[in-house]
Amino acid sequence: MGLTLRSKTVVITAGTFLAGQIHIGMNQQSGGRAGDPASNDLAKSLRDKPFRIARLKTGTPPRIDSRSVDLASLPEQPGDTPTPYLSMMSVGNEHPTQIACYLSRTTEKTRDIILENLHLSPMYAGVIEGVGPRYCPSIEDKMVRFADKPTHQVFLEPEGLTSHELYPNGVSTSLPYEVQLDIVRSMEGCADAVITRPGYAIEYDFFDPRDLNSTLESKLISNLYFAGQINGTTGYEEAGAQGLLAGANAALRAQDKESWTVGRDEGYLGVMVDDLITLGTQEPYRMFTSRAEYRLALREDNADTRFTEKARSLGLVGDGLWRKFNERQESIEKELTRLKSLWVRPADPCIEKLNQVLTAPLSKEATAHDLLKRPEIHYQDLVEFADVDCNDDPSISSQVEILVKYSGYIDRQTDEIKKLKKNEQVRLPADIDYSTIVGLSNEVKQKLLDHRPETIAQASRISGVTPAAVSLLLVHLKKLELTHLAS
Amino acid sequence: MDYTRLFDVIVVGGGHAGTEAAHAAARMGCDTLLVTHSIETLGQMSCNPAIGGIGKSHLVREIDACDGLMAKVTDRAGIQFRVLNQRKGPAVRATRAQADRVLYRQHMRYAIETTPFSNRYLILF
Amino acid sequence: MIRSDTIVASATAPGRGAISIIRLSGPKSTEIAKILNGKSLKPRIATFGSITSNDEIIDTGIWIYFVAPHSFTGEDTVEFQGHGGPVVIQTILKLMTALGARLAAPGEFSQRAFLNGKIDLTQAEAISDLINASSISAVKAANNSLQGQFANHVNAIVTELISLRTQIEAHIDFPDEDIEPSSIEAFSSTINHIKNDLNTLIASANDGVKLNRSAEIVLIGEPNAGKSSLLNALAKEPLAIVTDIPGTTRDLIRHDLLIDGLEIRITDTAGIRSTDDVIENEGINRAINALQTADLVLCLFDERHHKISEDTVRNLVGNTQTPIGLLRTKIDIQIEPIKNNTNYPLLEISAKTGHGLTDFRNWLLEKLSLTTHSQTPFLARQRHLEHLKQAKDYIEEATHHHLGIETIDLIAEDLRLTQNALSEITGTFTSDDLLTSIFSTFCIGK
Repeated sequence: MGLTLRSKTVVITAGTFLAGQIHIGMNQQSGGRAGDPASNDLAKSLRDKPFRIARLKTGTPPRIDSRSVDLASLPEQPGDTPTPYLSMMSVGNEHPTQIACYLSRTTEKTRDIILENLHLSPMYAGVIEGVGPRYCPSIEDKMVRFADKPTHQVFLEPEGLTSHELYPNGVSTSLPYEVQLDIVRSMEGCADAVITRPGYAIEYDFFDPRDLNSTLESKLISNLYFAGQINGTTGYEEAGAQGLLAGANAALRAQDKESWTVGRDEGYLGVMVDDLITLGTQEPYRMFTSRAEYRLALREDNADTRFTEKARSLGLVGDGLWRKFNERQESIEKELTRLKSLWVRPADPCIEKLNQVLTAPLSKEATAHDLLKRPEIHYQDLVEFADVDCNDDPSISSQVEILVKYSGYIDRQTDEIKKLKKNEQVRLPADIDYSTIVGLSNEVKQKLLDHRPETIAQASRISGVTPAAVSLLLVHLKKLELTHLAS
Repeated sequence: MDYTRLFDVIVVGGGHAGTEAAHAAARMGCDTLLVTHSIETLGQMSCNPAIGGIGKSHLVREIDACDGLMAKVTDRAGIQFRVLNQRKGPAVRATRAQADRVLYRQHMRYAIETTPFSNRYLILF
Repeated sequence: MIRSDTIVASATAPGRGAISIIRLSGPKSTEIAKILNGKSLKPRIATFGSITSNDEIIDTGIWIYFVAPHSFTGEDTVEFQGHGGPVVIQTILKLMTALGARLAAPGEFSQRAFLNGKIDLTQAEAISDLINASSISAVKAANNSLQGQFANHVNAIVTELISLRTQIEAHIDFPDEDIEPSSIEAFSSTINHIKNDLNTLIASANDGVKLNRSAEIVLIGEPNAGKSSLLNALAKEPLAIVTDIPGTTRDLIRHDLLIDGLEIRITDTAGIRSTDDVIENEGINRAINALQTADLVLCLFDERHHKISEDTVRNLVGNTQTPIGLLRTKIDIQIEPIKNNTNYPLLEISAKTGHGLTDFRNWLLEKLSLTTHSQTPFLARQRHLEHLKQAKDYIEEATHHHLGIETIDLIAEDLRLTQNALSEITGTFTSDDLLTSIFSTFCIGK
């Protein structure tokens, strides 16, 4: 439109639109996602800057018309009852109508079709240069890499209440349309299936996230932030969480306030951002619980404890959530106090039934809190066998049970976190000259040059950087410090 | 619309990162502008219409704990919800929702357009 | 480069090696070599030559000259590879120091190499092990460590641990995938297996650590058999009170001796005899404990009072795996000729006159060089041992859980910490490495 817009800060969240290239069989076309144009101008103007840019690949399966599938013959996968909620602010009437998914499987015939047509796959023909994710391989990949597996499961997921389309989760492919049709029709319950949209592979540019700092601000252009798939991640959740962090930091910058970073010990958001900016990524980055070393502390059920107070201080949290948060924290505190003051004694009338669930009978008086620490006792057991009055709110009682049961582990992690914090506080100067550090191997020097870690903690998480190299860095920093003091 | 004014934050892109970014900046009281190809595709689920899953739902809950959008929108658009790893200990439990694409888009657009910080700019085109 | 003086030391441990290497490092190296050898050395060319002093050939061998900075230390370095036993080496070192070199402090070569940027810290550690190693078997052990025997043992455990974590983490992160149903029993048995392997490794690592410190000898014998006198004679200064009253040595007296460069810790024990004295009984118990962990136990006999026989030796040492040597003491006042009715080596000495002491010392060197932990599979530093023990503690915690699907996150945490402890030895194992293992093991991907 030829408009010039002015802003203190900019957040770029251009997703896969950057120099997108779609592959279906040997056909390629430029595009973001199917049907949308690629942002080539944006990609071009960003390419002129000294950013490190690389290419990634991802794929989607063909969509199937549910009316053409024999759903009755397939195992049904209903949702849970009661249906869970994701938001603390949801009150219980938000869900639309709930429906089921179905489970289909590939067959021997599927495998034969794929192996026969492998030469038509752009991945195998070498047309695609981008690297696809290991955790979401195309069906071609699965058949080649796990050739002895006779069948692979395919989840048939409805695309919506007002759509007949099914998303066959597990058969992402970039084979030509005719082959896709054969593949789908070889699957259980899908003999007459109709494809509504073919699957495709898409290649796109991403910006090396190692050029960002922990607020997602570019190291090359200040006040410019990157979030989402453009940083090499995949998934709505990964994108959304980065958007939150980048948006909040852009706002803080615009307001001249101190920036906000999330530690690896504080949240999955912290783990993800630290992984990205420290290690970069070779495949579309997806979150897994095994990426979080403090997994026991970073739970779904305590995200509010970990985030809400800080977010409120930044101005992110409205009054509604803030009130709810405080009520919940108070209830948890109160319930913990109550359990600590409830005594169960060996002479109590309930003791006979209680001892039946205990691995060792109760020998001296104990609080309900003590009892809950035992692995064999759950909150419900306290109610049933120890005559403890039940808390009305199941989310509070379950939170209390988790807190009590995990406390030993969480305490143990505290030392590890302290060490991490210490290493995070030791900053590596941006102008540090790794080539002058005596004793570092060339390989380690190269890795440090590539990653440009901000702290000792980040340096220590780069693969191939040994504890010895870290001590050499510390020695070098000490040396720099002494030299500085002397001059 | 006054294009000579200096915005606090401009967000380029209206996908899942862009919507959270713009909404967060607006919640914090910034003059925020969201620039996107098409207002119709705000919060478009281009791939699998599902939100959450192992590790991912942790992120959704963290967004929610900061009063972000994704969890709220998913609760209104989800057509099948499951808790994964139900029996495996609370740290590795996760929620996964199958979402209705259309509902998701609608609720996301509604959330963006009705952001409660009414005296702030939030412009879409 | 740092300006420094010239240092010299034997680069190989003393004892019975086929070759001994003496290394000079510093600005005077070539000058000293030229005086002893009579020839000028060319860089990086092996020159056959001898070492002569007062027209007498001390040793012949190969001289090699490494020009700075292309040497181990980064300085001008000369190496002489000769045949010298302990005595010859001592003589050569004396000659070289007389010509202006200084005996190197322990680890000083590595230190110089390190300061000159020739080696990184990890290598420096292994090399300092080599230098500090105080017997031939310790050198063997150090060599093994450099070649990764120790790392191999740890790696085997780590491999098993990774495979276990791969299974468990796959079940946690990919519950919807149709991977093999988890066998909790199999997990449990693998955990126990890893625990046992760690215990075995710790036991052998313990040997390595002890070896690196010094060889340990226990003197044991009836009261007044002459143990303290022997120790004093070897140490050349009075250490224990020597009197004629049996049972003088109540406590264990330890002394570290350097015999021909070999570091030996000798423990002088209370004699073995039944007594009502509580304190002395305690001393006897300590003596028995000490001999179980020693590298060599020396049984001393004053044959005027106790004859040497298989039975009397057994009475002294009980059942022990420790190698045994016999010493007939006070031979200046013994009447009967020496006769060995046992299967153990027997030597005779007089601490008073010094008779037999030289032979005894040489025998001791040979004995320790050949037997001291020649079976030790690897060298492990104290640091390694700490990490191994930590790993063992963590995996032990995993075994304490009631293993079930409900506690799998807690077990996974114990296993993560186990691996962290081992990573201090083998290098970092990242969560991405774990994911790689999962994706190559299982067909993941909806």
